[in-house]
Amino acid sequence: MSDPMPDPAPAPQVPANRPSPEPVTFGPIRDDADRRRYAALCEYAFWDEPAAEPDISWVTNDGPGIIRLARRGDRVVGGAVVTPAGQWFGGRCVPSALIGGVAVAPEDRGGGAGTAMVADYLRAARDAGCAISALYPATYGLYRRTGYGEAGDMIRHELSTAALAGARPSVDGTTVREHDGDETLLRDLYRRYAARSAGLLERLDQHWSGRIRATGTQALHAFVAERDGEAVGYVTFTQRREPAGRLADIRDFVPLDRGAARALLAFFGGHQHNLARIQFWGSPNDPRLLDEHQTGRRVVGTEPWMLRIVNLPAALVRRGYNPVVTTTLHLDHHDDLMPDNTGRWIVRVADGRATVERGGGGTIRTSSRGLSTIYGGGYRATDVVDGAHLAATADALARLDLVFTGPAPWIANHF
Amino acid sequence: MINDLVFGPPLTTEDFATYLELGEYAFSEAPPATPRLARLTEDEPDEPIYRVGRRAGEIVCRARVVPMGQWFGGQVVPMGAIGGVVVAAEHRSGGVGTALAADFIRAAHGRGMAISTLFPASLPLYRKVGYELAGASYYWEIPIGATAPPRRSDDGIVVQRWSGGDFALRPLYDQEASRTSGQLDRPPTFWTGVMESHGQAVHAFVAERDDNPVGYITFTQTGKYDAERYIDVLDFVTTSRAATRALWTFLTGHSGTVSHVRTWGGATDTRLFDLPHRGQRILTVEPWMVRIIDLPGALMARGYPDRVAAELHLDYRDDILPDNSGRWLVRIADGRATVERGGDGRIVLTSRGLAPVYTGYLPAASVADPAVLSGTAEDLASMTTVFAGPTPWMADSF
Repeated sequence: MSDPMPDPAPAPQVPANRPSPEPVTFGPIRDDADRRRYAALCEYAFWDEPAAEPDISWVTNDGPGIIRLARRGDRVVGGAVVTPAGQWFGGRCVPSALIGGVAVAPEDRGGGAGTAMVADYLRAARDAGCAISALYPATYGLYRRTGYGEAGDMIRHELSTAALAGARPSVDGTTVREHDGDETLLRDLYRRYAARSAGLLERLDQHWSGRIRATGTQALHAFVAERDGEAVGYVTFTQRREPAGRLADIRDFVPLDRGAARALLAFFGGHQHNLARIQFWGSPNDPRLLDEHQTGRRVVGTEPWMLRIVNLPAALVRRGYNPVVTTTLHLDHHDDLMPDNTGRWIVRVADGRATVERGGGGTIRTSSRGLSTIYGGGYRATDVVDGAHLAATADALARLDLVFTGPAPWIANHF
Repeated sequence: MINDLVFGPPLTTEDFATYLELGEYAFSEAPPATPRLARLTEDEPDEPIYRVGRRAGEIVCRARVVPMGQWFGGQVVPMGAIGGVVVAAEHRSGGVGTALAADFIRAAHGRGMAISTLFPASLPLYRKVGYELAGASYYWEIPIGATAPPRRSDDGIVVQRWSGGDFALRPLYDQEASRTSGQLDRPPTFWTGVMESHGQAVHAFVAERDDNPVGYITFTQTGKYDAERYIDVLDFVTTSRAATRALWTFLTGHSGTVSHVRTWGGATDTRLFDLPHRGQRILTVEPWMVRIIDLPGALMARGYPDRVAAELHLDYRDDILPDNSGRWLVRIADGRATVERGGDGRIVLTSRGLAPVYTGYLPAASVADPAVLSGTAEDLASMTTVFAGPTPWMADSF
């Protein structure tokens, strides 16, 4: 499929008084000067208070995150961190490249360095075995141009503890107790919870920091919900004072069932005299709020995230599907940046799994942005169909909806 | 004691005066000394069913059921919209509200409603009688500088001021509402609310391609010039993404005089899909609840995905409307359902278990809970597939 109406690429803006820039090349960190330069670029772009001497401890070629630097000549003009991890979809874990630290030096913006950098790190992600990639966009244009699609919004929910008070916590015998510090139990509960979600991470060691493990000097409280001697969920949180009263900043809220969600919410209802509110990240229409005891929830944050298919057959084969859906999709896929994905594919879905092979009638025409948008289940094909990125008959759109329908995707970690 | 409550319609002018007084006390910003009787006819749409509860002859609570319709799966489901639920201040906390809710549920059943929907002021009360959270409307704020999507040269859509009244716009609304989950099949009186706004100027613009309307927007402007100034959307209806882009481009033309656009929408809303920058945020969420009133009626009235063929074996329990209770075999094919008595009863459920799945609000596995919905993983997966659709929200409130 040739994209009939691509989003316009930005015209390179080269100041007239400067010679044409040297071409951008990519590679790993070479020396400490590289480390300082990239750390300074990241602090300039993202930090609340950039330091005079940037923290370079995390800038290394040995971490779980692959750092790719962009250079013009010997000058580092930008960089990105590609962290191979996993994301759960349909009960299976899909290898996913989590992208962070995408920074371009302010004087080098608008010259195509960002687009070239995305192309470079996507190749690195594919080489590292990743099937998809996820990021929180600082801008849409760059990532839409490079094949990312909107996956959904993470929502920060706020409930008042007064509205949670009065719920009967133990209607089904679920109790809540303080946790003794054994990480294994919490990790296991999280993993079972993530496996039923859409989008949650298969966490690397770094992703547990601040979730079940305290960072810095602030106390991190952990409580476990139990029923019949079995752990059925947990919550971790820190506390802080804000002008509107004390707040529980929930780091993980992991109920395996509705009884656990009720018990953990009721637990905060018992805090109404020392906590005014609780806040936590979640999905829109978050199922954990089905058991909010009383009205009065608020939304205090909205964080969109984007997804890109890096390796098309791997992305479709590695995720799980609704086990009662049996169908066949004939894709005609177009991916400018990653031509291995381009072409016709037959996707057969049955018993919760997909097989993918070359060929077929190509009746569903997709761009990378189009297919990546519906892959996670946040948007339905029927609702986002648009000749440029997704074109198919009504019948084929209905089949796409069936295949990719699932819980609203979200992530629960920032990166 | 709630056994001494007697329910019925308000009968006399005095009854209606009491009905209004209770409402003014509960809802008005400035309750007048004498109730405004005229409001009953001015503001109350479309033959509502008024219900009052009397204790020793004195009216102690009231509610109304407005028969209308709600779109699910491309079909209109007869829906009783509940509003004006008030218990007199001196009679609260004694079970009066629960008895009142049971009464208006029976009244809705008597009028042939298949489901009932309400915006809850209290969740435990309505859960007790079978309502459950089943949809949510989100109030989005979009900075005006973020609204201009890239125009595409062949969109060929022009936006023009509209002064032709709502009648020509209704087919566009219906066309779009039929593709959503949860939009109202609007009673004629609801159109007043999107074309007029309590003395404020309402602006209406239509997007046209080749002289055919493909979308429209109505809005008011509020706030102060030189500060935060808002376009407050009443209706933003488009039949394609190209039409959506054209209306956003039109709105961006207000960037000199307006700071933000505010509009109701869904949790995920494809009208916000082509915005070029981040910056949109959710200001408010208004969850709503649904109760199944007539189980076979509700299942047969809504539409289903064309490609889905499935059987659901329900074992249903309804304490207030026992006609719904028992085993039901639901067969879904070609976008419609047939319902008959019988089957294996493999999915055990109540209205609170069915409602959030029925509207497409949540997957069955997320709603499953011993008291309201249980079944095998495969039965729950079938149920999710059958009812899956766009995320349910409503542009209107009542």
